[in-house]
Amino acid sequence: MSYHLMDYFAFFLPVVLIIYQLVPQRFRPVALLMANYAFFYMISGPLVVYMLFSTIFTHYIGLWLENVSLTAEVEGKALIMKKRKVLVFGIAISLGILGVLKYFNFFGQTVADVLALFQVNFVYEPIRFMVPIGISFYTLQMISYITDVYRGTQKAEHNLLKIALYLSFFPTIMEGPICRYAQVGEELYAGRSITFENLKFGYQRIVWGLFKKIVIADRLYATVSHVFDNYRDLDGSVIAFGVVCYTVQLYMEFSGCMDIIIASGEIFGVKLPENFRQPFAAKDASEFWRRWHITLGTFFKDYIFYSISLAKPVKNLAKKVKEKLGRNVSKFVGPTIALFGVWSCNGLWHGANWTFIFYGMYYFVLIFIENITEEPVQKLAQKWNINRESSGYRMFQAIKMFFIINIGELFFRANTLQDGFAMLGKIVTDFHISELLGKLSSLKMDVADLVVVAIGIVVVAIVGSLHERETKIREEIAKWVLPVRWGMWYAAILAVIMLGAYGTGYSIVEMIYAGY
Amino acid sequence: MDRVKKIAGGTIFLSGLVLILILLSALMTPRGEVYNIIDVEKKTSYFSKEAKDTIDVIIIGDSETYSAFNPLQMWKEQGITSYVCGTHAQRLCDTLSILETSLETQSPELVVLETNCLFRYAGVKPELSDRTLYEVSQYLPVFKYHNRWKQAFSVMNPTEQKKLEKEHLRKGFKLRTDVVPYTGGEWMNESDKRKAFGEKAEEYLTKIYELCKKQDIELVLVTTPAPDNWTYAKHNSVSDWADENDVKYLDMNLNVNEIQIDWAKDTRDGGDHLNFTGAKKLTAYFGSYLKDNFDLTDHRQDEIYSSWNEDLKNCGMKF
Repeated sequence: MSYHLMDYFAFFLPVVLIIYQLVPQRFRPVALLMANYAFFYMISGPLVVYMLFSTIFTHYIGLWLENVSLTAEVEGKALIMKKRKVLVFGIAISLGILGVLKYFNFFGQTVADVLALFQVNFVYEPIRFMVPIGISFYTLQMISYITDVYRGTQKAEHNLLKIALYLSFFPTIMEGPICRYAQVGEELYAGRSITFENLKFGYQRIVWGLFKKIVIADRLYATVSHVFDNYRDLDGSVIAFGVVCYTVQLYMEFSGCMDIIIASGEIFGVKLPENFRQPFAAKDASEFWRRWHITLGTFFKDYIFYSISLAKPVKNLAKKVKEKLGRNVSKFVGPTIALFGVWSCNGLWHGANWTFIFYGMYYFVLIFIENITEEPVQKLAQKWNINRESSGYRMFQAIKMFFIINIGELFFRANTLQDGFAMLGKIVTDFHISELLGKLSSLKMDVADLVVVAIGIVVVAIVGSLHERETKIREEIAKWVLPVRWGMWYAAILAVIMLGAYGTGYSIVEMIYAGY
Repeated sequence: MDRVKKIAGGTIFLSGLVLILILLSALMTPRGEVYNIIDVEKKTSYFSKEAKDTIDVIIIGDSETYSAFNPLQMWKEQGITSYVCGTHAQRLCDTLSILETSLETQSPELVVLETNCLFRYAGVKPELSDRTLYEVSQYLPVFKYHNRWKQAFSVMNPTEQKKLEKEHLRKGFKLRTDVVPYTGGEWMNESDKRKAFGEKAEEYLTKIYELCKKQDIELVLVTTPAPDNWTYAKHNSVSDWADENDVKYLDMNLNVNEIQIDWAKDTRDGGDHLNFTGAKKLTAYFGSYLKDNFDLTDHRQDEIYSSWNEDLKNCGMKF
């Protein structure tokens, strides 16, 4: 079961919607919870016990934290320390499960590799863990809830059903978005009736998500796999083409699935947070991450960046640096250490692989450079009279970001870190554009595919620029006269059906982020 | 009132969509039961370019066929006209479809069926990853055949066109010179085990057999040497069927020494498929087998077949 399959949007979702609508409002949360667990069970089978445990555990930690505050005989720092112990315990267990299931083998192998450097013969036999679907996503939701209760920004929830709905909502379980309890907890429990408007707008957005996923992203899958698996035999220009294809594939796939997910929530009357906001319009790496996988970025900002930068040892270090090197240097100490923490976690979160860790460090270095050069660049621009809002400067930024994003995705997708460097090396030293033009047909892609992908990208770019101007496209279309409006939606649906890369000759491409 | 209007509007919209899909289904559905419509149509469209009633042997099956049988070599050595109608991972439903279309323009003496495809699912059903899509496509075949529009674009791809033209010139043979040796040991250890045919395979095999019988064509089963995918258990199952139906069966896995296959040089992927040098040896052997066992005419001196000599000159292969 995946969100882009008919099994989901043409069978599971409609069946759940009908049952949900038919049952009385007070039973709807229970109906929704049963749908969530059925969905989870269909993908992960008996591993649903992980979800059950996580729900009860999260609920319990929330109550424990509340209890500590209410019954504590101590105040001030002593109370905080007491609560902190509960918080650390809650996070340690949540992360512990995730860590064992996802990273145990990685660390085992790393230990073996390090020992080998010292000529110690230790062979690590990997353990085959069964990993429940969505654990990377719902674990972060557990942590955010526990931390918010600890910080006092969220009241502990007494109703177990509400926590259960929050952690297991079926549209979000596979790929996020990573929600906060305050954003969706009450809406999920409200059991609102499904309105015609929500149903209509929801399915319209599902069609749009399918267009991005099935028509564009899945059409690029074979080419991307071919290039990344056989780069040794390919020219640098062909590799560069494959890397750009991957960037497009990843964006169309992840943002397309996110459209389907957010639309599913919308039908239930649940407003899920957006995860993408035209990332390719970003002016620099920091802005890119405020537009790409937004809920992951805000999670790291709220729960890691601030936690580290406001931690006492970091503050003390900044103070010492200020005394020795002055304010101009010390102001970077806290943010840089926090930034390092954020990007280490970001890399590791994507998976137990050096490529992801490198990917995290890549953005750490880039954003660090941006931070320390921002002021000098601003001064230089003023001195040389460069208008940073001019179209020429914007073009320069767009080209810069094109390279930054694609190099990052190259390492993100590379099979190993060595492969990533070898691919980048070939792009730089062995680039012959004529090779690319001659090889297009052998790249698992024909003219028809290229035409469809190109048109698809143009359509997505136009829609993106409208979103950038904050145009509410579906609402605008709803104002059109009926024949034009219906004609538009028929064309959109038929585009997905006729141009979709599915069926014979195409393999079903699983959602990339569902694997993280 | 507003609610009724909305429900009526939604119903009309969906009915209109279903109507459009029914019309598109009628437009896109090919005749017969086909799984990989794109490959089947590509193959039959090129095959139909062969002069009417000039092909004596149709060789059909999956990738084993176009990797192992070289019709122009067989022409040069034996004067037999043959054509490889095999396609990648061919299912038997597609084998039957290609054969039915092929027999509209040709009246061959033999149909040679390579047996590797007997051990995979043989029907039109797509992979079951999306059950709803499968069910819907039963009623609205546009979901199954929507990709047919791509063929209209194939003329715009000169490189692809050139490749297909070359393949047609070589009568369906694909020239592959890569070498990845097979390093495993003996794979045909005699045993009594049987490996069951793929689901629906026997049903389609019987249909193919009956079609050939009806058209007075002899069906021959052959297996190309492939240690990577063949076993004695598979051999036994094919032998059983061939004996039951009085069909000739040649398993060349048992004759590799006679064919002089060198697994260090003659396979392109570690023993799954033969490469050009392997195909050269196998074709020489198989050509003699056909000559010795069937009453096939040597057309080399026949003016009508002079284009075969032209093709031989232009094929870019040396035997």
